[in-house]
Amino acid sequence: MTPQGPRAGVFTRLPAYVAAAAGLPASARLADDVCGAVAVIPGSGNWWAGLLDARDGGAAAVVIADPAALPREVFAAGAWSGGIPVVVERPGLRADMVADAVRARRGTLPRVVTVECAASAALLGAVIRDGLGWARSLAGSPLTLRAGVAAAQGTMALLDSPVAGGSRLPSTMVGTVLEGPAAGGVLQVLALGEVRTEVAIDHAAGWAKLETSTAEGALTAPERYEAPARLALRRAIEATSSGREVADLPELLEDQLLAHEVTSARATR
Amino acid sequence: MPWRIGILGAGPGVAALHLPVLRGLPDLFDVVHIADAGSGRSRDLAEPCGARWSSGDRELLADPEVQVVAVCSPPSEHARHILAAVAAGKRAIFCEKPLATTRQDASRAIDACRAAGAILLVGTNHVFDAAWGRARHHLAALDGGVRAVSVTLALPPNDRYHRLVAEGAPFQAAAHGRPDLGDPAVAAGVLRQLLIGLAIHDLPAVRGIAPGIDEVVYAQLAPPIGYLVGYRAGSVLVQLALTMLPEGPDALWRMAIATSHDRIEVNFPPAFVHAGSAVISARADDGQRTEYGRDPVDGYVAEWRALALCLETKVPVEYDELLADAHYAIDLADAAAAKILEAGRQ
Repeated sequence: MTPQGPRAGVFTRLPAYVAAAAGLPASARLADDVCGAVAVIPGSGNWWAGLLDARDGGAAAVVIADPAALPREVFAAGAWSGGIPVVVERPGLRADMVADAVRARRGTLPRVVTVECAASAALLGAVIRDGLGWARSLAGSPLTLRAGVAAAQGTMALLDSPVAGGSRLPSTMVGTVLEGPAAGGVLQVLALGEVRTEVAIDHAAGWAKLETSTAEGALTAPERYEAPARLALRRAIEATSSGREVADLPELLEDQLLAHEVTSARATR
Repeated sequence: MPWRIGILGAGPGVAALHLPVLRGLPDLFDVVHIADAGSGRSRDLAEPCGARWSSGDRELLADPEVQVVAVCSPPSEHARHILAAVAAGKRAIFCEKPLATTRQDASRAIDACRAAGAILLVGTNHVFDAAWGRARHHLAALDGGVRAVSVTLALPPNDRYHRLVAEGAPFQAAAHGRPDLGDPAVAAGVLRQLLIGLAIHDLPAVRGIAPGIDEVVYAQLAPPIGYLVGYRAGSVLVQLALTMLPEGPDALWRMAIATSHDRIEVNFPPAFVHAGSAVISARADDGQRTEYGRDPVDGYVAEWRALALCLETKVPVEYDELLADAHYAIDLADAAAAKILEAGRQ
């Protein structure tokens, strides 16, 4: 979208997105009608129903803002036929941070990925989902659950993903229930190998770190100061104008389904 | 007067680690005899110390000058050498980890030491690291319980660190060909060896916070050489990960403990180097992070000082704890190996 071009309508009442639209004055304006606009769906509650409504209402694109973990049956019952771009704002899996992490590895696959998650019982499912999203992104292919156990206050799993040559890249995940006033979610991801990626995200503390290490030393990625809502809105507007496909929703659903499998795991290996 | 030490073993661990540490503690220890298993390396190590050298264990154990025996032989020989040292009437034994590779050997070694009143110290340097002591205090002060423990190791070749503390490279053991890891029996054996040989650095500490092994959830070798093991100890989930890399960044050796309210991370320095203690960071339930500084004394020096303290003050040896530590590691290694065999049968 150029400053001279038409500004995309943004249909939202969420303050963070109203502010985000104000932060994109050349490419966005608030709209009164969902039809033809970028519709922002709050991630709390049944956002899947909101997504379907927005599509049926003629939205040009949809942003799902910080989606909660939905029960499996909610979105398994519906179908997403696509047709419009869907951008997902995932504070635990920012698109720009993931791109930084993957780019810094310069094509070197990890040998092992480990994921540690901790959050309040209500948020743990979403944090595990985002942790698995990091493992998928760093492994570069979808994960399959191989073994796991779900305990009262935690869950643990072994997963793997295919790599060229027919071998499998293993990942592990452990997630625990965190109590206390700052239980908003802690995520620690390590992609181990000749290149090491370390991701540490602490939602409650407002803290995120991305470091890539090799034999030569460590590179700390610059902090991403763009607000998550502005990033998501900017990507949605870019997707509508470019027509470029956005994989956010299928990836979210894939991670969500896997998180469901993991948290109800009983398989062993 | 320093305690007179005889060292059984003349491998890289002695050359790069124990000998320099002991020579740096001249008030406490004097190395008087080094024995190899026939390699001839003991002479090169002993001569600069003014110590005697020999091959095999007999001459060293019969040496009346030797008061304390350091067992630094291959792990499968540890129990036999402890028994021999006790039989030779030695007053104290420092045993490089692990204590033994089978339950029976561990029990026999402990029984013999207990019966003779011999001082025994197992060189689990991470347990002697001041930072681990601090982490234990931190855990004890918390209200909530431990929910998960993750021990993650990503190690470049040891040679990188040997070169920083010794000369005379290469220190790498000669390659003996790649084992056929497609054979479940071979894979199970390699996994068992890795757990008893490497995970043993931290398993006594893990046992302290996650006692018992109720269920091995998964166990497999990790590429290129390493392991992934997950098990449940009561309500505590334990995850062990190791990958030994041909190249790459500096060693990562981390124990992370998730409690109901906090997360404690202990980052140990690479093996062999003397970079002080581990570094601990703790995240409290209000999101506040605290990082504790390094103690200048590392676990290698601390374990030898602990032995000197035992010799000087007659601190009682915790034989039952040492045995329980050994059995925990052996039981885990056996259960993990069985898991691989079970997967192979399926």
